[in-house]
Amino acid sequence: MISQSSRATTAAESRFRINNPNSKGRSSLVLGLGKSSMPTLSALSCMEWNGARFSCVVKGDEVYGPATELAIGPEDLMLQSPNGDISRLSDELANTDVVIMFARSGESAQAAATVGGAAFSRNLMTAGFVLDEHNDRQGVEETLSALRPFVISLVVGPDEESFIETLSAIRA
Amino acid sequence: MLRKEVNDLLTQTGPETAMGDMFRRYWVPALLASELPEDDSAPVRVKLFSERLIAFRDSGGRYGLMDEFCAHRGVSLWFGRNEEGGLRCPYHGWKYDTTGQCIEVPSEPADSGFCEKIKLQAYPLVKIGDILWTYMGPKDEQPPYPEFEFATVPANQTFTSKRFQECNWMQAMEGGIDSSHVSFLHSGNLNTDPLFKGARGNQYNIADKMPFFEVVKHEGGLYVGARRNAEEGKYYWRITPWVMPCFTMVPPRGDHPTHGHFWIPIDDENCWAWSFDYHPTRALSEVELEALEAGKGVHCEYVPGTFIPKANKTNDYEMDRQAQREGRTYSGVEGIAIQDSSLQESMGPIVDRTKENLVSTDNGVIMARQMLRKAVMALRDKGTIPPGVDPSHHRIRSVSVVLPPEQAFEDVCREDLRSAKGKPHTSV
Repeated sequence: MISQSSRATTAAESRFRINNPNSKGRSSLVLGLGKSSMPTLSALSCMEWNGARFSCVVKGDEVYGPATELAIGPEDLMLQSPNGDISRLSDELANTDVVIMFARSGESAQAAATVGGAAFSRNLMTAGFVLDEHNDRQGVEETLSALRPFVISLVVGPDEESFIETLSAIRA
Repeated sequence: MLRKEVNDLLTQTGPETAMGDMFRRYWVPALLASELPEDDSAPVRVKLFSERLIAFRDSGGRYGLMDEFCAHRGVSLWFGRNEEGGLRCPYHGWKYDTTGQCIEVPSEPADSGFCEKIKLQAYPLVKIGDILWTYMGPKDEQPPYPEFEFATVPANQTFTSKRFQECNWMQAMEGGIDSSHVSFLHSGNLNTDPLFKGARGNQYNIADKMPFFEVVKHEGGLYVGARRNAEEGKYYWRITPWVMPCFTMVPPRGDHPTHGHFWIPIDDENCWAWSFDYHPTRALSEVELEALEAGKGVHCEYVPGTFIPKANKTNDYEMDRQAQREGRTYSGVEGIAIQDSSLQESMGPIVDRTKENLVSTDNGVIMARQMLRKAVMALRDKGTIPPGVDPSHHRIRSVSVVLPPEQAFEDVCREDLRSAKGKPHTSV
C-alpha cells in the first residue's frame, strides 16, 4: 500500500491545499533612526504595503509646529511620518506587532536603545536593517553595534531595493 | 512571502531557463568518484538541471559526461559497452569518446567521414576530492576549478556522501541557511550523535532556543550569524557561510569534523543533497569514519544499491511517535538528514512561497533569495558573472565562537572565516 507521505506530496495533491488566507495582517512600524532616513522612508511610504507605517525618530528642534507642544517622556521618542505628522513612540507601539528599525551605515543609531527597550517590554518582534550603499565597513560596524543588542534580527543590505524586498517578504 | 513569478524564476533550472543558465555557470558536483571506480567501469546515468546524461570512465582513465542517448536511434547508452577508449551503443555499434564525439559507425565506410559529423552534447567531468564535478555552461565562460576546502584537503581528512531528495533544490537549500531550526528539529541529536556530542557549544544551543540573527554579505554570498547567550554576558556565535548558488557549511562543534552541503537540481522536483564532513588539520579517526559510513551526522543510511535514503516517503520516514513523545527525537524521525528531508519533502515538490509567513529570523533566507534573483537578472540582462563562480569565493569556513557582546563576528572572525591549508578551525 502506498504510504501517506508518498500520496500527500505529489504535485497533483498540492492542488487540494486550502487557498484561504492563513494569516491576519500584522501591523509593522518601519522606523528610521535618524532624520537622514526620511527620504528613503518617504519614497517607501508611497508604495503599496499591507498596512506598514513609516516614521523617523526626530528631535524637537528638527520639526516645526505642533511637535514643540508634544510632551515626550524620558523613555519615549518623538516620531515624524513622511507626511509631517508628529507622534510619540509609545503611542505608535500600542498598535504595532513588529518594529523594523532602519539606519544608514555610519548613522548614529542611539535611538535603537529606546526603541528596542520599549519594544522588548511590550514583547514586540524587532528587526534592524542597515543600508550600506558605499561599502563603508567602519560606518556599518558603528551602526551595527548600536543596533545589535536591541533587535532579534539584523541585516546589512546594499541598496534600498533589498530593504523593499525584505519588507515585502515579511508582509509589512 | 515570495511572488509567484519570482518563485518560478528561482525554482526552474531546466535548459533555457534564467536560473538554469545561472546554475550552468558554476562547477557543480555531478557524481561521486566512487561511482566510476575504475577504467572501463559501468556507465552511470546522471540527470542534472533536467538533462539526461551518461557518465563513464574510458580505458585511459578519462571521464566523460554526455547526452544519455545514442544519436542513431535514441537508445540509452546506459546499455553501452565501455571498451577500448569509448562507449559503444550495443544496438548498432556506434561508439563515442569522452567528448561526445562519435568515433565509429561500423555500418559506414571508415573513410566516409560520417562519424566525424556525429557529436553528442558533452560536458567536462573532473575529479576533485571525492567528487566528479561538471561545468555545463558556455565553453568560453568556463571558470577555474572549484576550491572548496573539503574537496582539497588530503583524502584521509574528508568524507562525502549524496542522497536523493524528492523536492525542488531551493526549499532543501533554504534549510541549510536557516539555522534556527536546529534548536528544535535536531535537538534530540546534539547530545547523542557521535559526530556532534560533547561540544561545549551544544549546551548553548540547547539552553537558548531564541537566537538572534545577523546577516552580512560577502563577495560570494552571505554570512548568517546566529547569536545565543553564553556565560558572563558573552555571546555564542554560530556563523554559517552560504556561497552562491547552493553551498552551505554548518558551524563546527568542538573538534568534530565540520560538515556542509550542496543542493544540486536533478530536475525541478528532485535534487541531490550532497553532504560532506572534513577536518582541516587532521585525518578522520576510525570511529568518525565508521559513524560517517553508517549514516550518522548529516549523512544517512540507504536503500541498498541506491542513493535513496532508507527512511523515505514510501515508508513515512519510519516515523516513531513514541520517540517523538519521549523526546528522543523532536519530530519522531531519526537522523539529522532525514529530519530535514522529511519536512522539506512534505512541503510538496515545489513549495508555494506566496503562502509563507516569514518572520524576522528568516532574514538569511530572505537575503539569499534576493541575491539569487539579482544575480539571475544581472546574468540574463547584462551578462554579469554571478557571485560564487570565482574560486576565491570558495575559500571559506564556518565558525563557532564565544565573543564579548561589543564585538562583531565579521570583524573579529574575518581570518577564521577564510580557509587556508593547515590552519586550525575556530570552534567551540
